[in-house]
Amino acid sequence: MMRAALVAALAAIAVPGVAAADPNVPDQNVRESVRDLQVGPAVRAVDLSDAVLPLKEEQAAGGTVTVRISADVLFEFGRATLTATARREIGELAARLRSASGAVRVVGYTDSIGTPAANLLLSRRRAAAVKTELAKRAGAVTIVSVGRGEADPVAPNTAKGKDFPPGRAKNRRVEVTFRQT
Amino acid sequence: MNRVWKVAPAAVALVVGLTGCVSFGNDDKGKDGGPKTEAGRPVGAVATVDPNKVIAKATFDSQAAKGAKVEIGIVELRVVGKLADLTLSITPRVPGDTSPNVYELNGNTDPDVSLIDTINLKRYVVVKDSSGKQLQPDYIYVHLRNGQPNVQTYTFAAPPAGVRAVDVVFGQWPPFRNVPVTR
Repeated sequence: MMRAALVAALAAIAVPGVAAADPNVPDQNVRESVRDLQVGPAVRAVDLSDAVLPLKEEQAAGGTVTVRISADVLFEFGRATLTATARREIGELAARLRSASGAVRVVGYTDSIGTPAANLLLSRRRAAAVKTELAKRAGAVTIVSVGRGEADPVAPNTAKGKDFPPGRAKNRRVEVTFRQT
Repeated sequence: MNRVWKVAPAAVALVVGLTGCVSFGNDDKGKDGGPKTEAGRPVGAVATVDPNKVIAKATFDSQAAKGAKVEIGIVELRVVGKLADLTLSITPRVPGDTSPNVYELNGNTDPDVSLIDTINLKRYVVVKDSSGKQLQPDYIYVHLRNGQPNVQTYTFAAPPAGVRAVDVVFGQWPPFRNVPVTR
């Protein structure tokens, strides 16, 4: 008897929800308290299509080829020192320039952060660094280098009056243009 | 929801570390006993993160205030399935501000976190879900604890298998070069 009472008491403690249930709750209220979870709209696909952007692009029109490479992979941050990646890419480009006709044009650009004078200087130094490396590897090819600073952006540096880093990233670049024979 | 954002001050990370993990009752176990998605990503659990154990770190000047600094540490860059999680430890040191956000630390600008793949010449930006929400902590509404390491996770498309390291760009500061990709 004592044992049965003890078991009943322990059950009441172990299942407080049952022990404390209000017998006056109408069945309808209990039914209405259980609702379906609408999980469908809570699961969203992850879109990877716009998550990977090229750092090197090439355009060809009428025999003229322009290779645009992001300054982020060509140079150390804020400097005109070529990276190992830059030397690899310039090496590949130099091989193509050996069969080019006419002068090869190297143009450096920056984003809009910093003063125009500093950007112009940096873009000139970067273009010159690429020219020097190309000249070493391409042989007897005429190469001219120009710095344009923040001129001729290929993407907006600001959007809705605010800084737009993805656009600025596209604008930090060097373009190499040559005529393919 | 099958992701738990690691946006927490060190204290929370420590609690999670002490308790092991947080389970949300998913019974679909992976090979290691933990619940997994079809793509192999863990669900319903927060990995233990020690914000003081970083593979690279640097301290930069911040425009948030005069004399402000921010220490950014890279805890890891881990590929799981089609995605890669970049876990950072960010310690702001801003005079007179108890809870700066990343936007302020970065000179009132979007930090535009990205990975630079120098092998394939690609930039990986934070992925978005189908509603356009970026898989990253909000850089304005998420406030950091000043003077303490804060853990944040940013999610990208996974670099191809042959890519062993990438450069990590965070905000206006110089990138972290050759950050190893853990697979």
